[in-house]
Amino acid sequence: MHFFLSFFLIIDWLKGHLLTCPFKSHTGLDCPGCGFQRSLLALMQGDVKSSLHLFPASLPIVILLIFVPAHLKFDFKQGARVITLLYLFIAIVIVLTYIYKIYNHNLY
Amino acid sequence: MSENQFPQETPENNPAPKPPEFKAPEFKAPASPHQYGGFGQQALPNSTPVLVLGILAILSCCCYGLPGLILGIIGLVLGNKDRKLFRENPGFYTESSYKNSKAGRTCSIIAVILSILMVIFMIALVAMVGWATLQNPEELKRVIEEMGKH
Repeated sequence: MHFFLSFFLIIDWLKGHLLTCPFKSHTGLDCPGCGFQRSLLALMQGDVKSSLHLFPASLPIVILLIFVPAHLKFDFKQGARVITLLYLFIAIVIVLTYIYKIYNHNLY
Repeated sequence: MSENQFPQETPENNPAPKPPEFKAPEFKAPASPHQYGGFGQQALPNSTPVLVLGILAILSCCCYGLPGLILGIIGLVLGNKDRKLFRENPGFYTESSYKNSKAGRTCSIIAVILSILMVIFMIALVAMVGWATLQNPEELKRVIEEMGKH
């Protein structure tokens, strides 16, 4: 119970303390990484749908961030290949998302 | 001196010694560098940092693409160093660390490409709307909306 309470407190605190993107604050335009923190927060609250809507690459990034330490610890046989492919996938998703945003004038 | 005193060696009384059978040395495949399961082998010195740098590089693709570019290039340089070390002495290092290093190198390359794309995008933006407009969000919004109409 205590754990869950503190978890929600952390989420609340994080909501008020998101790091500001210098590109966004400077120009008012989204950068390719904008939405990641909001999306991560949504993911922490279990809202996968809005997380994917805010920043589609955040779910694979979280998977990658969990998988890499596990691979470094346990040394999976195909781990390096999985990391490479996942990374490529993330890069493609980020690029496509940004192109989509530019085309639809969703940069604000 | 008759010839009999020194009997000539004829094939009858003294057959020529058989030439020793030629035995080809058994062919042994050269030991694979990875045959010995890790005994005495080390991990490449930079395999883990390269992987971590490569992954951090993509997380910092914003901020004008500069942190990603720097981290990616550092990762690429370290990865190339590791690759050279492994090529010089493949048996000395563990294969898994080589694989990690290779994966980290690939990730760094992808991150560098993304960051360069971002920098090019920034330059294109400045070229299209001008530096002064870029400083002013409201003006920029107006200019971009105008561009969208055409």
